Amino acid sequence: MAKRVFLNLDLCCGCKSCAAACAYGHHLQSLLGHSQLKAAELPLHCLHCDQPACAAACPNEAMKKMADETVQRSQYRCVGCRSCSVACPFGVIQPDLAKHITPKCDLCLDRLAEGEIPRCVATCTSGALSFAEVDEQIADRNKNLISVRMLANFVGRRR
Amino acid sequence: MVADNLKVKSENSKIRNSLCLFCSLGCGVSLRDEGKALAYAQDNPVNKGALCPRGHYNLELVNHPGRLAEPQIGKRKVSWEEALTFIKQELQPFRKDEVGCLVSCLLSNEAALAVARTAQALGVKNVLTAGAAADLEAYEGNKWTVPGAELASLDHLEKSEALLIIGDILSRSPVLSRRINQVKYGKRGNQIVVIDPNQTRTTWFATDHLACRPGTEPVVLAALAGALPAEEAAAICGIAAAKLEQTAAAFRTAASGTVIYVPQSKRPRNDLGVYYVKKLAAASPNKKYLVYYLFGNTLGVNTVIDREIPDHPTYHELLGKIERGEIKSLLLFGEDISAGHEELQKKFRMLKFVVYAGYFESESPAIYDNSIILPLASQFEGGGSYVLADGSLAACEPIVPAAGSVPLEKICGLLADCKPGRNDARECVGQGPVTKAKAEAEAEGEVRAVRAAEQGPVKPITYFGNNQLVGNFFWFQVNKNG
Ligand code: SF4
Ligand code: SF4
Ligand code: SF4
Ligand code: SF4
Repeated sequence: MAKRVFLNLDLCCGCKSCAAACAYGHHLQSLLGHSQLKAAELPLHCLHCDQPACAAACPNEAMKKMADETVQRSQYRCVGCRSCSVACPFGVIQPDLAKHITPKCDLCLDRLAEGEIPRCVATCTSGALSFAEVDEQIADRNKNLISVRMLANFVGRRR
Repeated sequence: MVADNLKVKSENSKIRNSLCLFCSLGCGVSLRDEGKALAYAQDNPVNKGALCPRGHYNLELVNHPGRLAEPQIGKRKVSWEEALTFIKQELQPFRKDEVGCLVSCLLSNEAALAVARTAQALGVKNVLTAGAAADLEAYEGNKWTVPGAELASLDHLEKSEALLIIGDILSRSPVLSRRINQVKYGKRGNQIVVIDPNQTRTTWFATDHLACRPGTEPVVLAALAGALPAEEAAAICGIAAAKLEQTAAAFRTAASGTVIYVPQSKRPRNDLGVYYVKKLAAASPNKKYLVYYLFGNTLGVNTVIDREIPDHPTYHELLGKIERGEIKSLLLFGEDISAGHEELQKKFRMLKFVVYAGYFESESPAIYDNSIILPLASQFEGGGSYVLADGSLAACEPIVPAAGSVPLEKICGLLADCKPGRNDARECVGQGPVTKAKAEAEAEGEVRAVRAAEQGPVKPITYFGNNQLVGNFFWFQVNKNG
């Protein structure tokens, strides 16, 4: 199976270093959105879905599932219509209207080609991000879906 | 294939390791292709490749298109010869005590020493360091000696069983979050107590959050250190006396512990805070303290200036002198502190002549009226030695060629024909911080005054410098609202 970026909710401190690193590798346009919750600014990584809703919604075939199992957006085909942004069930495509391009994670293909890990994983300050085989992570999936820390802060908030 | 091209490129490009010295942590970074690309120093023990957003800004200094490359008189580009004759000729009419000098806490020890020597050669006494106001206040507190108080290394922090964090460390330096996570999830029973009036990123990780009244952190610390009765402290800070006693006991009995102090400008008396942090660390075995400075070389630059020019004025004295017209000319090294600071700009307008050595053109129009701007080399181009938060000395070698910009040592040498050697600064810093002879009892009396300070007028926040520097970076501009 392919390797993907995973986030451990218990470790992330919401520092946005990953977004900064992403921007530095992608012409100063971060492809990585952050959730807008005040209390928890968590990075929203593209999952590179098996059946990507973003690609299905794209009217121009700009968003495509590639042979290497990643979902890529073609800068030249994209018209900035934001259909993918609406279609993605995880809300990871945060459109930058000012620039008429729709940022979407490319899994740092340039770095992968050099045998390196993606930029956001390399720079993660807390060790929350990992780049791992999907199968390995399935066993650990609960960790990635729900977090003790989140529950303690949202549900069991004492003050 | 794209991938093949990239492979060839990576074989040709050389990776150079260096340090980010934007804050006092000193993370490792790697640059490739003469600084044009960023690689992550995954084997650096401090950060294991992680960089905070500020670290990315720092790297952007290299090859930034907005960087100065030539001296400028106002907006006009001039040669170095012309610039130096202009400076000499313009500085001539001022008396020695009419010239002031400000040196940024982001510069190296060598640069600070060069500034001090230049000032001595010119006979200038009004030399001051410029950094985050809270940092400078904390540095004052750091001078009070407490026997037995030891600075924590990052390894000690990671292995601690109890952490006491004052302020929002994870917003200032998220790079420490890996270590804080290690404490949190490393062993059952480990405690992380955060003292902060607000809910912050750091309190997310706390096992216990002591929300005191804003600005009363020094009082809480005094109570925890046993210098103030818990009941009295409780009345000031708003945390129950029993809770204070329980926290103090838990920290005292833990096998090992670290107190992390983050100076914050909205908090009065950061110096007292640091003093009580030291007392707290000295009170029980195997406890150490760490003061995190937002500006990389706050410890080093201040130590050098204190040693070389012992009778320098304070920040407010210097501003007063400018306002009264006693200082007519200013040498600004490293940063234009008036950028984005309207009140300062008003004061700076009274100056007759300004020499500004910096990375970018100054944003403040006050500087332009009659000034000369010199291009300054960044840490990656100039190198130098820096004192980190844990007290260690970090040496940064120049790794990229400077395009027109010149290290401050050289600028100072040109200004005053004095050339201090590299090793001088290391000797100067190696002797440890200057100690402030101050009776303990006096400090303990002062903590009660925090109550008065809290109810009095809010202290103006003088958080200068950093904003202008960071404001020049692309990522900041693109994501300003994000
Ligand atoms: S953008 Fe959304 S829908 Fe498209 S691949 Fe990524 S996670 Fe899936
Ligand atoms: S994998 Fe690369 S492109 Fe995707 S979010 Fe991380 S840094 Fe950005
Ligand atoms: S760098 Fe790591 S800790 Fe910081 S926001 Fe991104 S995932 Fe979270
Ligand atoms: S934590 Fe400090 S030293 Fe490390 S990358 Fe950030 S600014 Fe640089």
